[in-house]
Amino acid sequence: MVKVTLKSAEGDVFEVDEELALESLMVKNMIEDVGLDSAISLPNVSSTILAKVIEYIKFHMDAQKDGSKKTSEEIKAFDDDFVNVGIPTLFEMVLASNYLNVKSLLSLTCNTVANMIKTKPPAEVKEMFTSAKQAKA
Amino acid sequence: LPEECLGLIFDRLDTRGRNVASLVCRRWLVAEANSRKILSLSAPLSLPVSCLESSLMRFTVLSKLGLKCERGVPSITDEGLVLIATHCRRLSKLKLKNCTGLQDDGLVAFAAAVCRASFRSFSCCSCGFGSRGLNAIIKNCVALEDLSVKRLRMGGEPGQLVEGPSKLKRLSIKNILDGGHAFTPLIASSKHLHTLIIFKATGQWDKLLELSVEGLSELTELRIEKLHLGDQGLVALAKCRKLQVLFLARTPECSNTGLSAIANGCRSLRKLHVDGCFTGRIGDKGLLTVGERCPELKELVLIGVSVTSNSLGTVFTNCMGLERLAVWNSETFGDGELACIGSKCQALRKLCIKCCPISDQGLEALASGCPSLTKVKIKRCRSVSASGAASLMMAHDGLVVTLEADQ
Repeated sequence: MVKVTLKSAEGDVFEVDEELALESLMVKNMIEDVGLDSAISLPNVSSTILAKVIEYIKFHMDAQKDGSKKTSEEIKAFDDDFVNVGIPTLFEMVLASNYLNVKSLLSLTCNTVANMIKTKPPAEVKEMFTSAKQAKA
Repeated sequence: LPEECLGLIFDRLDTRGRNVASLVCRRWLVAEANSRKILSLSAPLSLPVSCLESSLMRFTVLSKLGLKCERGVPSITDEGLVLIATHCRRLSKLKLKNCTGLQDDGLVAFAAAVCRASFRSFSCCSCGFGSRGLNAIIKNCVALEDLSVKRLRMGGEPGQLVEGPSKLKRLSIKNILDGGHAFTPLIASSKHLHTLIIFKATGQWDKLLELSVEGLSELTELRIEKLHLGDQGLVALAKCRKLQVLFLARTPECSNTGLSAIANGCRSLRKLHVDGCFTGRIGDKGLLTVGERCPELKELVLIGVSVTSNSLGTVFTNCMGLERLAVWNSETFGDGELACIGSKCQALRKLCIKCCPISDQGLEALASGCPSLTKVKIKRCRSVSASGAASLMMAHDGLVVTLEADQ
């Protein structure tokens, strides 16, 4: 199995299977342009978030493989748990999946944010996001 | 988050959610306005033009716009249509309802100014314009794929519609009380029409269809209701060989002869709905031809049609893929017919029977067959008891039976 080296914003190196890396259309384009020889650096993605994205893709690739015993309930439970994080992390994941162009993760994270906004009055939405910002700062 | 991502998130909200999001802060207000593609506005005459204009300028990527007015309330005037054409450069769909203030001149000006490459769908109901305005749309909007016209007055000059844009795929004509004939050149010239819907439009449709459906080789779906149409029209329609979906309702002149002609011509029928309005003109004879000629049938709905197992037996034997069946108001559909379903319909999943002389005994026979059945609805069948329905439900795993008694 061919490996691809990804380098996060902090300079940490992640070695993953090529098949997994290709799930990111942005990485896929990079590989097509520059090849596999050098590490692909992703200056917009932190190590923590990159690790999470890899975890997400890996889980779903395994779940799709033949002989996978995972039920749709288990997959949903994984997704729910995966996005059950603080707003700052969630936003970083939206950004990262948009930048890396991982469609399924982008859709999952955007849906999660949309669900948080839904049914709340504007003032509450505003408070929720400003407090999250302060917590980060 | 950058605006791009905010837009993606807002796209997952409904209109109410979007409205809330736009009130959160200035940045979100802008981001929401720059990503909203669908807008529906109430458009009474009292809406100031400047107000309409600023709404149209705020939403920069608008693709679908709806204007609606309360019935009897005067609507915005032609000026509004021109504003829409000039400001919404990505408009793909415009829907107008009860806008009596919009006249032919406005529609002509709109058609001249709208972005032709993107404008694909036009729908209007009870508006002030007629054939002259529609003609301008038909002539100018070359990318038009979908046209719905409801409750318009087509009379006046010049009355007739012109030949249509070649890309038209769907045409719906409803409640045209003066001159359904105006549409024949449009129908005849729309060679790529997929779907044709005609409800309650005046005119001798036998003649009109003979003149217009000849070249509709791509037509797959046809819905006809409350038309002055008989067998002659159905014979003409039978030339649409690719027809897959046919709804035929409240056309009391149609008989077995017409249905047989359709069945002989349209061999790929998948869905057939016939509302025979108790005339007795459509029955076993027509359906027998359907059974013999249309093996692809998946859905069959018969209302007010006197059918028996004589024809249904052939349908069930030949149409192996029949999944959905509904029979309403048929005096001849009884236990014998249910037994016929039970013994022959291997693929049947959904069954609905209303106002038919069936009883518990028939349900028992049904229970012994139909391995794929998942849903059975029985309405107003007096001889069916709750226990009969319950024992049918017990007969199959995952089968849901609902029984509604006489109200």
